Amino acid sequence: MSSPSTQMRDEVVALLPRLRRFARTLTRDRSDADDVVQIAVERALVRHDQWRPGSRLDSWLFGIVRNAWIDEVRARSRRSAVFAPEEAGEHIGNPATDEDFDMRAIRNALFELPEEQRCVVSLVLIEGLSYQEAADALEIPIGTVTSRLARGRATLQTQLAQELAP
Amino acid sequence: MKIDEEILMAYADGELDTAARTTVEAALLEDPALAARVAAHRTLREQMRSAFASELDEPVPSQLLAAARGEPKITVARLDDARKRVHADPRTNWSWPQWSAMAASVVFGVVIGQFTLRAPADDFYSSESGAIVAAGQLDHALTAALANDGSDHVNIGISFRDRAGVYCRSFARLGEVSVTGLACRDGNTWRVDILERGATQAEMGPGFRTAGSMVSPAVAAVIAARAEGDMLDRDAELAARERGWQ
Repeated sequence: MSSPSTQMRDEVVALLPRLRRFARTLTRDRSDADDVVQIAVERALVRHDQWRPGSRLDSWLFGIVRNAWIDEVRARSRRSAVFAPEEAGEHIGNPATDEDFDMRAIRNALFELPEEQRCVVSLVLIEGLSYQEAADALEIPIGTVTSRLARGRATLQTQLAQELAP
Repeated sequence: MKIDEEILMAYADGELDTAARTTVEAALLEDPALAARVAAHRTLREQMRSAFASELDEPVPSQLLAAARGEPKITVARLDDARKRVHADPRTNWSWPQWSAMAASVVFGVVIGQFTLRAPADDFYSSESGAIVAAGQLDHALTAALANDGSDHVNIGISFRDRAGVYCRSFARLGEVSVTGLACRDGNTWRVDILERGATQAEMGPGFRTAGSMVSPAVAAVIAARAEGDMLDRDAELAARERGWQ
């Protein structure tokens, strides 16, 4: 079995912050997210020859992160099934300003979406994947990406219209 | 073409082909309500991006870097493994008094280096009646941080209780020169029992970053000798922190 090239490893290293961020939105827990990324990185490097050169490495890795979450970590997640919203200052410094408050409201609104919608919203709106790239990463039809994204967005907009400072 | 919400969303996301885009743009000129919907979709994207921007600035845990680079996994994952290794390898199966003497000489070297070479800038240790006590950022990390949470300066590796029920935590200080060690709670301070100087960045070569949760074989041996029970998991750490590590 061949081993992944140094260049590929370097690219994976460079993508780690984004993989962690995506995993954070998926798992809603810092430790779970890092477990998921660890598993995903190990899997990706074992199956490195399954990545098609010329396609986006990040999309491919996001898909592996999502599968690692579903296959291995979700069942033993530290986070209970009912999401507990982030507290003030957990990720954003105190004292809380209006802007910090808004940021937290936005984060919590995403965390409260159903997982399938959250996953698509995270890939497209946060990670900047195209609909087709998100569909490839998640191995679902593009129409499914579009409908999940539309539903997720509608919920977020309704939620945030109530919570954000005008 | 019927301009529904999904079309507006796809337009805002730059997903439409030229023909569809032209149709939508003509409709937007005629209907300010549609234009407002497009603006709302773009605003939401901006909000999402900025609310999750801070994640990108966080330091990546050393385990993940090691996994991506294909480096061997962190030395000690579980205390049981550490114990097995210690007992399997007679060279590391030292009794504590021998260890203590060795550790003292290591501490001496490191501390002299710290205090003479970069004395004013360093606020990691202080000396109290012959013992080394954690100060500044080290004291803060030992008291407040959870294991392997990722920090710019100090990473906590393993937390456990010794036979007397005292909390001890291994730490790694990252920087030009890596330092690993073990500190145990002593009243309201952390007594530093072991300090071990690791390789410098220069010695390790470019591109190599010190493993943050690295526990050196020496520190692992001491942990194995002193620990009672398993390492603390996250919940146990949270509970211990809540009680001020008493």
